Amino acid sequence: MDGVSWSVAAPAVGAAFAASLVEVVEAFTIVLAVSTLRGWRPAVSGTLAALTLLGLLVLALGPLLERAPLHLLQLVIGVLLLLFGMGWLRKAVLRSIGVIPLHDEEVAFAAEKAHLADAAQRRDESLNWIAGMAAFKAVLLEGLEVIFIVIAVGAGRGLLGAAALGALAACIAVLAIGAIVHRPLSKVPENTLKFGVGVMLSAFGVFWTGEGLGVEWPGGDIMLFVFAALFLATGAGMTRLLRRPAAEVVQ
Amino acid sequence: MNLLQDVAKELFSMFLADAKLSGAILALVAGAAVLIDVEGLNPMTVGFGLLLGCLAILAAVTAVEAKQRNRN
Repeated sequence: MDGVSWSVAAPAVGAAFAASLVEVVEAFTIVLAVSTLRGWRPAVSGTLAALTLLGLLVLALGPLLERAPLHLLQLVIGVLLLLFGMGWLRKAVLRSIGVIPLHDEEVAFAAEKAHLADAAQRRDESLNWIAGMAAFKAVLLEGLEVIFIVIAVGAGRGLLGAAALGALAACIAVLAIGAIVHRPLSKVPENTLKFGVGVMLSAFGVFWTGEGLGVEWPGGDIMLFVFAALFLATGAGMTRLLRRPAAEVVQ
Repeated sequence: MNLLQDVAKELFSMFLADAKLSGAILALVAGAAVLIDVEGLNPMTVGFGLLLGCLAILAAVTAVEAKQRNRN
């Protein structure tokens, strides 16, 4: 992280950690459902296969990122961050005011188990194969989001390694806690995390998009905190303004 | 094939889940690019316009969707 100030490194690592935590918890729920139904073998093989594919994707795409012109890279990543981050923020506000239901890991766990049992009855394929594929798909799809977030918050300032460490720390935390409690991690305040990550990714999105368009922000990286504070205030303000009186607000 | 469809669906939902939000953001960024590159406006002024535009879009999109969903 030579030459990179903590003001841009800390939000990048924090965003990568928090966003990855949300995604890894969702993947862990499916892998746990698979292992509960069919044992650890299909769960672990599906997970390892997906991680291998994700690793190959990173190895293939990484060199391309280094060749792209910096301003173009910042603009493209900035716009994608705005689409992704503001999407999460919008959903988090709507969830916190009770307009759309909160994501429930216990419900997702039960649904996946029921789906696997049903799929096994309907198809001739072995249940181990179906279970392994379910784990593979869950890790691959959630992992794609983790890779995007790591690239998006890290690529613009040479922070890919630091952002990847943030994501890895989230994986280790979920696996360690999951191995101990051995049940879906439903106590993780997912919507609050999504709200916070949405704020940070949106702030990064405005910052990179502006730099990609040739804007030299006054104060440099410190503006990230100003942008984050404004997105936080807007999100919190909308939550307060739109909250239904009768709505049962969980978080 | 099913897996590729799922991956495509996941990528689509990551960036374009809400058409109004995505359309507004893309239009705002395109407008900012035109103002800087074609009209020659001060990039910093346009940059702060981009920031305010994003905040306004977020407020408008959540308010409209909350109202629509409350009505149903």
